[in-house]
Parts: sequence; C-alpha cells; structure tokens
Amino acid sequence: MEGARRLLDLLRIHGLLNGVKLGILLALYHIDGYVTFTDLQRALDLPKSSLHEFLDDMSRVGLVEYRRAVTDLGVRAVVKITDKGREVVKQYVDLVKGAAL
Amino acid sequence: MSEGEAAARRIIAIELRKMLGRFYILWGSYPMAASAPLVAAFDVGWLKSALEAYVFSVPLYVIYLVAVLGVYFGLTFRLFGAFYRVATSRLGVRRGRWPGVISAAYFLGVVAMWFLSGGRLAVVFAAVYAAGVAFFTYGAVYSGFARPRYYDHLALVGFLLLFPASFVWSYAIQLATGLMWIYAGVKSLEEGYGGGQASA
Repeated sequence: MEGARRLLDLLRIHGLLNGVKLGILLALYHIDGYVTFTDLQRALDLPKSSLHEFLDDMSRVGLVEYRRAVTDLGVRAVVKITDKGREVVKQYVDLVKGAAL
Repeated sequence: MSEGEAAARRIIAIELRKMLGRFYILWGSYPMAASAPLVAAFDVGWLKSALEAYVFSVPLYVIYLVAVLGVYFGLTFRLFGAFYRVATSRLGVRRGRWPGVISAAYFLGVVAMWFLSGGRLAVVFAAVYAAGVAFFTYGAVYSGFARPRYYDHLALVGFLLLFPASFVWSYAIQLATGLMWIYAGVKSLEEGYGGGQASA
C-alpha cells in the first residue's frame, strides 16, 4: 500500500498521472535517442495541439528535451529524455517492482 | 499506468521497425562497402605498394576490412542494444517460439549442406554464422513489438540459404543477399515512417 502511494506521489509530482505522458517518457527512456514529433503523433494517434501541449509540459518540468533538429527527413521537432527524466523512470520502475503491480 | 505502458509499446514498435530497417540496409550494403573500395585500391597499384611498404606492415585490405567491420559492428551493437533494453524491461512482451523452431530446422539444413558441400568447413562456419544472425534478428522480429513481415523472411531466410551457398558456388551470391537486405530495409523504413503500417 505504501509502495502504491509513493508511486502515485512520484507520478503526481512530475505531472505523469496522464497515461500518454507516462508512455512517452517510458518509450524515450528505452529508445534512448531522439524521436520525432511526427512519429510520436503517428504512434499515439493524437491531435498535434494535444501532443505539443504534453511535450511542452514535460519539457517545462525538465523530463524531456523538446526542440527542432536536423533529422534524416529534414528539420523536425524532436524529443529526447533528460537525465532527470531517466531518474524518474528508474524510480518508477523500482516502485512498480516494489509494489508488485 | 497500463495506458501509459501501452502507449510506450506503440511508440517503441515504430522505432524498433525503423531500427530493423537501418540494420538491414547497413548489412545489406556490406558486400558492396567491403568490395568496391578494395577493387579501387587494387586498381591504383602504386598507391597500395607505397602504403604497404612505408605506412602499414599488414596488407591494406586487412586494415580496410577491419575498419569497415568495426563501423558495422559498432552500429549493430547500438541498434540491438536498444532492442535488448526494451525486451528485458517491464515493457517486454513474451517472445514467440518461432526463432527456436526456425533455428532447429536450420541446423538440420546445415548438416545437409555440409554433406552437399563435400564436408567443407568454411560452409559450416558460414552456416553457423548465418544461423546466429538470423536467430538474433528473428528474436527482434518476433519480440511482440515489431510485426513479422514478408520482407523479414525474405532477408533472413535468403541469408540462411544463400550465405553458406556463396562459399560453395560464388561469392557474387553475397551481392544478391545484400540486395535482399536493402529491399527489406527500405520496406521496414517505409513501414516505420508510415506509423507501423506495412506498405504493399
């Protein structure tokens, strides 16, 4: 019970109670590289404005780096996990294991 | 939480397919990358002689092949490193049994090929190498993230059959496998950039 509460606190503190934001962070952690906005939008099937808002929020709290960059398809908006984001995912994984969820 | 993890799997599926595409194109280009500059170097014979006499004590083609292999293996580890992280994480899904079944069937084929090739050891080594490559790549294909497609089978079954055969008949066969891999790579990238939908 204590583990579940701490997990909930962790997600709440970092604005990750929204499943999509949590999903983006988990995916970025495992991919460990840049992912384009377009790919995220295709995978999640979200309106551009909603996804942009999510990424802006996550960038503001320092979980991801969200910027424009040169990719193999030209200049695109890209997202990458930050060190803080990695730490949050590690804590998430530990808490999930501890809470046996 | 389950919604978040499902979203993560969808994103990872697309990125893994793109990684597979890059992997196919990378190794599909290997026969050409290994042979074309080598041929060019031998055409400029005086340069080769001068380099070997004054700069390198080992033959130039050995240095060249080691350098090319270094780059190729480096990129391969990078690609499969990402796959390994996902497969062993909480997000990992149960792997299908196909890699094991295909490998078992293949080892029977290796024995048959050994007899056909008159017991040539190089063919057996080539077959074992091909089995390793196919096993790990099929592991990624059947991981539950990427969906197996006909171009995966074209590239991997083609490699299993043609790579050892190239040691029996002609090394030029390796160029054909290279083209199959490049085709699989292009189709995989099309799929990845198309959001996970296979193109016709």
